[in-house]
Amino acid sequence: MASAVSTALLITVPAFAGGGFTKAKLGEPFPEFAAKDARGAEISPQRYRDAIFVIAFVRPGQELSLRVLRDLQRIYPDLKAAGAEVVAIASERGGEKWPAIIKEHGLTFPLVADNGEKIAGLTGLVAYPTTAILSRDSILASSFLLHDYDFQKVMVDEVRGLYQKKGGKLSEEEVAKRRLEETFAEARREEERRNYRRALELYTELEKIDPEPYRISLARGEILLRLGEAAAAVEPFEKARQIHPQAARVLRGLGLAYARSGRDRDAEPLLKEAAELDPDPGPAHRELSRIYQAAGNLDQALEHAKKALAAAERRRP
Amino acid sequence: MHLTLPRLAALEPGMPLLPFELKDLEGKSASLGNLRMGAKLTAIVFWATWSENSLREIKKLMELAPLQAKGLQVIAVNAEEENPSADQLAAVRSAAKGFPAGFLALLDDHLSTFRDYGVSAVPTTFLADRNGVVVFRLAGFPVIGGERMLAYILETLEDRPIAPGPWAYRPHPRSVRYFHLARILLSKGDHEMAVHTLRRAAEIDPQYLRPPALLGDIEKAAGRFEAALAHYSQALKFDPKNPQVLTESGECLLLAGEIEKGLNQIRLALAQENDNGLIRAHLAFGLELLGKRPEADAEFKRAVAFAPRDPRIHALEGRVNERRGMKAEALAAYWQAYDLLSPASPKKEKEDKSNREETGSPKEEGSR
Repeated sequence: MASAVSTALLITVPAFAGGGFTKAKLGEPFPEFAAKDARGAEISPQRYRDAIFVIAFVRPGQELSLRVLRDLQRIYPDLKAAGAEVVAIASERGGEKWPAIIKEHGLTFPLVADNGEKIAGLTGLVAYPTTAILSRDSILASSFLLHDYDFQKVMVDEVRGLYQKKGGKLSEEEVAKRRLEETFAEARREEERRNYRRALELYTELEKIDPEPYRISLARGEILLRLGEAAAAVEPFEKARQIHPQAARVLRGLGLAYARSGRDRDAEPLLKEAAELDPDPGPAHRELSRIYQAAGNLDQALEHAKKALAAAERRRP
Repeated sequence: MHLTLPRLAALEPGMPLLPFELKDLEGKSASLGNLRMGAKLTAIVFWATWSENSLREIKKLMELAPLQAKGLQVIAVNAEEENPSADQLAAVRSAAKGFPAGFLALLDDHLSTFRDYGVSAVPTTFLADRNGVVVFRLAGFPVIGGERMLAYILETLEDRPIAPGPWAYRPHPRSVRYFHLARILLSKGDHEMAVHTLRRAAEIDPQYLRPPALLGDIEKAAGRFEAALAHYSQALKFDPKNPQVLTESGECLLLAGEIEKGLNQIRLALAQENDNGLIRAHLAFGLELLGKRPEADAEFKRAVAFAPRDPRIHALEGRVNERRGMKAEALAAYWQAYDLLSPASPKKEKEDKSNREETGSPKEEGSR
């Protein structure tokens, strides 16, 4: 049972590349900083230009931060062999706990106190823990929010990947790719903040350069639906459907776009299929309920309304 | 299709407060962690200007202002409306002007914290101890529960012994974690694992009433009323007057055909929390089953007036209307319940605004 509990916790907190900072951007130089470790030695990525840097922003008393530190200690020899330096930047809150943590976990890489959380502020740190990997010329190559079960492997692979590149630096193409991911992450953040127009602008820009049109078309369609522009949402969903015709989100999105722009007949089969496939069938059932009500079929409308309600209720823990 | 909605309460006694970050009335961000620092007790009250009981609850808490010096922190989270209008914000600011110094007024303008905390009606008050663990959760303006909470506040801040009772009980933290995990598993549809996890929670702390109560909800949703009632009885052993468990158990009895018994339990729950809209809605449902239609309608009206944003009340109304053959009304009620459960989209914001223009402000709706 204990393993089921810990597994469930890991599953619900996945790491992803990008999105750990609001100011430090993938593909851009990492903000300059300098701090002293416990021995008084100065640590600054910009002063060690020949090293790939792994920087972990951590907080005491936080389970995920401790997992990041333990994992980094385990893979420290592999990272060193790949030409990387590791430094942990510790939130000063609960700073008195750090000596005990360093001793308990046998940490051999530097841990610096971020007094006044200045470094966190410079980078626009989103949450603890976040781990950043800088290339040899201090470009932010990757960032990982929180922790995941494959953290050690991901770190070692990323660092080795950089090490194998010429001079440990990113090529122009790789920088461009990271900037694209950063823009995508920024668009997602704007969406989360409900700045839908701004998110839409970013997605529209991305559509011109992103080699993965599916995710952008889907995102554009969903935002247009949120903005009540159902007719405009049809085009991006139809585009997405050409790529993945059976994807539940596409069927749901296109069905809703059709329904809300007065095309109930086109919407019905898509929504019925979406309701079968979608892990969240609530919106499809809700719209089907409206369609049947409009058609005078109250019995079907009621059935779908109850299914929508049951689905919405299941979503809430 | 047997439609039974499990309890929505996401945050219950024994659980830690959920972190949030909201803006105060000047637009400055405030996080729960920072606000709670150093407080012996934290009272978070969700309120709205259109709710008379909210204003009574706030007034009662304002009388405790001198206790702030002894470690009481009061945070008033306004849940006026999703995306409130300029007029509504002005009403909130005007009401908050009377707050004593040290009272924090925050705005939950997307109702995100309102939803995260499992609140469906205002006022709802959470009282947490110095470790941020919820000790009391009061919905409405209950006389008995309110007096007990006040006594607890005074006992704690004046370092007096805490009177024995369910409020003084601290469930085992591991049991609370398993309970929380079970609810997540349920939301993901893994009933089998949820049941297993709840049994584990109950083994760790047999006196914690939430695991058997939730097991009762699961059995009830599956139509296994006898098994559900056994779990509810188990839960009620530790807190025989717990209004939430009494209501769920009462509903179970209604569904099993034991209507008078069910109504008795629901009335006992209502005696603890007279202003609880959901309990009133269950009373209405029971009266409907007895064929007392006008009384049922009157209770539903009162229930909606207390808690217009509680989707479970509208779902119950839907069920009653369907039973009466009033399909269009049932559909409207189910849609209302669904729309309250789903996060707002800007389209919904447009729809809501136009609804308000037609039917008036929520305050007027609530007092119909």
